Amino acid sequence: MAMAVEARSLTKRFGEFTAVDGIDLTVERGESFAMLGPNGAGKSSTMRMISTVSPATSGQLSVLGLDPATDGQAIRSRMGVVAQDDNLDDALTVRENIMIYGRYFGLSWAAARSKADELLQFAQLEDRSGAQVNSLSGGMKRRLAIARALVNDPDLVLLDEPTTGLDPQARHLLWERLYQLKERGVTLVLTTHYMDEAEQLSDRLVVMDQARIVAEGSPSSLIAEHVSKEVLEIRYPAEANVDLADLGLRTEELADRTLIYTDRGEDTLAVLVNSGRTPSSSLVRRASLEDVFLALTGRRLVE
Amino acid sequence: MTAPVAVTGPRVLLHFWEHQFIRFRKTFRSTITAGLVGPLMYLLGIGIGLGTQVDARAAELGTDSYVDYVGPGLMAASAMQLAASESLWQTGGLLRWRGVYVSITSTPLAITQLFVGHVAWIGFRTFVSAVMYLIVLLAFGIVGSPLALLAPVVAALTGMAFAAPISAWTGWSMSKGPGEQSFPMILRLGIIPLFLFSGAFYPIEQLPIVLEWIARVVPVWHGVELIRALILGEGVGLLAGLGHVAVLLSYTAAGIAVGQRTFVRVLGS
Ligand SMILES: Nc1ncnc2c1ncn2[C@@H]1O[C@H](COP(=O)(O)OP(=O)(O)OP(=O)(O)O)[C@@H](O)[C@H]1O
Ligand SMILES: [Mg+2]
Repeated sequence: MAMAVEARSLTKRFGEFTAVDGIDLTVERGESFAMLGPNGAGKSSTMRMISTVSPATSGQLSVLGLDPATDGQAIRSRMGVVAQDDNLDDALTVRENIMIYGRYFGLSWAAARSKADELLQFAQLEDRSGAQVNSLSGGMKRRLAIARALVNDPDLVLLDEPTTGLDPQARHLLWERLYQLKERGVTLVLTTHYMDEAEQLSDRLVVMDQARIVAEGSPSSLIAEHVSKEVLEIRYPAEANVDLADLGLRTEELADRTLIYTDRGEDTLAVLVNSGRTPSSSLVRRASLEDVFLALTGRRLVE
Repeated sequence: MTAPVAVTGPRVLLHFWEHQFIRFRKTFRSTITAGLVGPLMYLLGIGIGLGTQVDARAAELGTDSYVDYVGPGLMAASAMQLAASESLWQTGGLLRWRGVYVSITSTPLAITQLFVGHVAWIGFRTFVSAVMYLIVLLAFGIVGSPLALLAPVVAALTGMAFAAPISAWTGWSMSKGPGEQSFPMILRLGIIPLFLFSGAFYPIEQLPIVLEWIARVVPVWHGVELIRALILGEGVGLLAGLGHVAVLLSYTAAGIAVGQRTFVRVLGS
């Protein structure tokens, strides 16, 4: 069977500006794939090309084995799209949002009704079925947007920043629902600013920065490849001028703290303490994709 | 699980109209009220009020009284107004502020089809309002022919002749252009003058020659003439009638050709 998504030298320009600069990516069927990157990296522009709405400026793209330029209708009928904005219809109720959407995909009214019930349950919105969209919280709107995107039992679901702006509880509920989809064999392509989201939900990811892909792999392989196992975060008083060069480890100076990449954080901390360089505060943690991003670009993911 | 049937071709347009109809139904009561009050005001205020001053010379207009002249003409002019406001703020909202059309781009409906459906839907909206107009005209005893039943169809054509080019503008202005800031200007410098110079209130031959020709070139006068002829039953030559319809359809077709591009630009960039 054809790949879910296959892109070669995919490029998107807006006038002179290049939003996506010749990226290559492949998403297999059943895979859960994430694009991690800061604001303006080109994630949404890539998603919009995959969703067949935005034509590529150059390069090749195939979605579910079809060409978005010519088979948009066929691709869309087998795909679910959750855009960065919810774009719900505020003139309709929660349930109508799903049903009316389902009609565009050829569901009979009876099928649209039973599908809406099933999806409202999935999104834990049964008790809001008759409510106006504007009365929903941000997390509920997001879940409704996702439920609506599933109305055609899609083979491929695109999620552009599914949890941005949600509180931790709402995020975890969404993650759990997305995990269920993945278990059912639905191919997921999502974008995110959050490394924990990418680590939780994706089998494989690309790190995007300034219109390009700067790294690719599974969350754990990217960490293994680009950073140490652990990170020692230390703080010194502002006036202190501490030299760490003798440690022989990679360090990163941030505005408010210093990161030391090490395989054994506690040992490194002991070395500092024993040599009279006890920091005013310290923390040992596992390395994350945030560190990968910092190592690759010299910048932080979420400013 | 119910596997969806692949929706292809123009059938998916039916679901677009269904969607719009369900949205429309929610405001049906206020639409009906506004649809009846509007013409009632015009007929009382202009037709009867102003009419008492000018009825003595109504024969020059070819009608018994001024209200007979102005009533049917206003059906066409109102169709233009309604179509314009639907094509400006309403359409801007569907494209941007509310994102309703944005979400439709993820369904099988293509953007080019969406634009056709959009224009036809505004045509239907003007048809509904024109039917209510006709009811008020009937109540005033202004209808003189069963051909009047065709008048709302012509009103819909008039509405589409404005909806297509103005929605095309809205699509363009929401992507690169000045956006909704341009809307009041279009209304004040475009639609209101056209309303006054449409031939609804007096024959356009009264206008200075330049304005008269502008009135002839713009679609609304064609709607006014045709609707008045149908409602009063005064008859219009077959050729002239077809000519009017052809003008209305040409504007619609040209507007659709341009609007499909501007909608693709605003929704699909
Ligand atoms: N329609 C457009 N016209 C012009 N420039 C655009 C357009 N859409 C996006 N861009 C630009 O392309 C770049 C990439 O935007 P994109 O929305 O793809 O980024 P993103 O990775 O999704 O960012 P975010 O995390 O903020 O959503 C940005 O600099 C943006 O300003
Ligand atoms: Mg984005």
